[in-house]
Amino acid sequence: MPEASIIDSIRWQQKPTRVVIGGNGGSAETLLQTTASVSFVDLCRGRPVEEVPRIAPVMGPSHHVVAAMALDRLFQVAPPELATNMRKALVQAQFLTHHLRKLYFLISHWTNPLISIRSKAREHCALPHAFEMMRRIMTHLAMAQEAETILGGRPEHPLTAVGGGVSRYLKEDHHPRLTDIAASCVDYSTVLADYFFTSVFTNAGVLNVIKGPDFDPLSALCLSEAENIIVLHDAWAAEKDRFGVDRFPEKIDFCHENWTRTPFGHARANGGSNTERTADGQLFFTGPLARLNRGFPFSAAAAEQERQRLIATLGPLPRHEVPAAYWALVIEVLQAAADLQQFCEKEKLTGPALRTIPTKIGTTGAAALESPSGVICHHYTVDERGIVKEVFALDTDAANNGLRCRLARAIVAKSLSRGGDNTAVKRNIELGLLPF
Amino acid sequence: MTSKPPRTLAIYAATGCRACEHVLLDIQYQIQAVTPWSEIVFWPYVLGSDLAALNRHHRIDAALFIGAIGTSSDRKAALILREKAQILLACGACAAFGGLPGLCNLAGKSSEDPDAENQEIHPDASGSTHFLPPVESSVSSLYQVVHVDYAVPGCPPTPALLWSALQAVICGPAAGSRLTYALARLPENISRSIAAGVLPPSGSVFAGKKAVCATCCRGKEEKRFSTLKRTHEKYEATGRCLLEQGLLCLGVATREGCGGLCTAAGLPCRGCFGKPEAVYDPGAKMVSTIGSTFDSQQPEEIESLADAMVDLIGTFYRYTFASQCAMASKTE
Repeated sequence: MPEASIIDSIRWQQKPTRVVIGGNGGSAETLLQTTASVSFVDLCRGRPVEEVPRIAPVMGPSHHVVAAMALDRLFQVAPPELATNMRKALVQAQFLTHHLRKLYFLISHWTNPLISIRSKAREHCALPHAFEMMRRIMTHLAMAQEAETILGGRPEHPLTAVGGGVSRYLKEDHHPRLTDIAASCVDYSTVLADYFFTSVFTNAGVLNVIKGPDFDPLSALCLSEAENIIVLHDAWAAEKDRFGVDRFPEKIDFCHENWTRTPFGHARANGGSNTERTADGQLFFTGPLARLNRGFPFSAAAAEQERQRLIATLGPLPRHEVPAAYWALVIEVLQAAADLQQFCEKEKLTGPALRTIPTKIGTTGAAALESPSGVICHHYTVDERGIVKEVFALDTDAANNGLRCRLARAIVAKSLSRGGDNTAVKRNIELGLLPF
Repeated sequence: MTSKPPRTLAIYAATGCRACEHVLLDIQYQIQAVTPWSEIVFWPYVLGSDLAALNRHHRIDAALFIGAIGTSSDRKAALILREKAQILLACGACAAFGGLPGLCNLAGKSSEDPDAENQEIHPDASGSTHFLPPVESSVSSLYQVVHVDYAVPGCPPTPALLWSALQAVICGPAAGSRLTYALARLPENISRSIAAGVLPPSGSVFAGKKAVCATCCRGKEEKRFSTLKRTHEKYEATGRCLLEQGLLCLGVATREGCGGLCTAAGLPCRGCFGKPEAVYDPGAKMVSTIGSTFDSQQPEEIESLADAMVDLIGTFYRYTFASQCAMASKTE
């Protein structure tokens, strides 16, 4: 049997990732492997539950917030409005950072992401004005990170969200700075959207590079408008199931395959299932495209206008193609900037109390959040001392693993059928997986 | 800018998260100043480099190793980078001490890795085989695997500290802003090295020398406390020392360098910068500190204090369990 071909390392993934193409070169044996992973369950089990928000960012910054929300429910306390607004503003800043970083990576595909912009700014690039756009993305990414630092203590591993509220007030000089940052991000987001519309989404040469294959439609997992209610849509955006986050362990399961360290999140079928293939019918995805595919209008006028522009260009929703996933990122940048501006009004981030001190600890606490990369859920079971006994956590790596593997297989099949070498296959996989 | 050819830099991320790499990217975003002095020749996350690409380089000037050693691939990368790199930096708490992944050593076999004991070759239904790097029996820090020249601790390290380390090992005397960083709160020998444009002494840690308490903004009034509270049980709108408030803060047993970031945010320090030089064991230091500052002689009160302390290993060795308790984690 011919040897398997390994494409290592796939860029821009949350965990170290590679692709193994089976011995016969056929796409059916294409495996997207995560080679290293940290078990969040093992990190949390045995810890005092109030410490989980400080451990959770190991899975991504937004897990800090959802962990604190789960503690609110475990402790049976309602955080003061100030705390709720600070957390919401923090999540919006995380949206900006996350999406801008992905868009930066996308543009950097046509350049070298590590060159000095000043010295290379005049070099030819296939993508118009790429260096200027990268510079401006960097600037606003840094601003969004500054907002995260103000609201959450630091961007990467935030720490201010605690069970019952937040750990500190903002300083007086933080308010005008947040206002400035939000206003700048709102202004820039429209520039960014116009740039992507003219230079990427309607530029045949560029679009051809990121287009990739359409992927088989999958169910989508989103958060309902009502807090802590999760909705499972079928591939055509019709509602299949709706459940409270407390029932998340009953409804969602994880398949562990022996060839990758990221499990496959899937809707639990009767009798359960334990492999990717047997869970195939229950796989789902989550994230910006899943949210877009619901077909709901966006509250920010600029975001809604951009959504209409997408529909006019690509066709009616739902979409199951890579450019739509990138476009969803741009739309959410517009929405997040507007939301950040809304939550950063001074009166919303000031108040008499910043946290509610709990007087008792329940036995289970759960919460869900629409994070930048999709729905994330935490469900804790604790003993009478508040020590974590069991953890169920859905992160977007597991939620989107089915989609990512399918997409990788489709991209390999398409690339190989066109006679592409491993370099081309790798590039196509990277660009295909980046927006998810 | 230096007229010499740029120094080559390799960046590898082992088991952990992407936070340290994002801090590196932030330096690039915000300062755009690493690249004039260095050519990054290996960075899987951003450049898509694979380990085989390292073999094309006879020598690399400096390598940043991020993350803990959790798989055979991580160990292999550590050995290759040690062999190729003139200077090897452990970047972040995971590389320096094992970090949060080190806590998995307490749990034994991973609950999310059902086939953890037999992962070298996996035959699938069609009979073909796919390699997945085997998981190590316990998570280790980089220091436990190879000789390390410098460390930049933190979870993640602050951009300023990381930048100062890069300037010291990559930019050398060419870095125009080095004096600014020499004035930062770094140990004197490191500050002087950066100012002079020479390499700091081998083994230097790019952080402070004293404990976090030295830079903590909170006021210490009276080093006594009479009750021990968990972080969700207490909030005091004062700037008083968190330990004096009865919250288990590890500042006294943790190396400074972050500027008291967590304590300024109203949360107790959890030790991501590791122990200061004067402390042998952070857990023992904390027991000693609590024992000497708890304001009671009554056996019942002392007993209730002991009862209130939960998960001492996970708290005192949150980021250092893999290295500080290496003997324990190997034998369990």
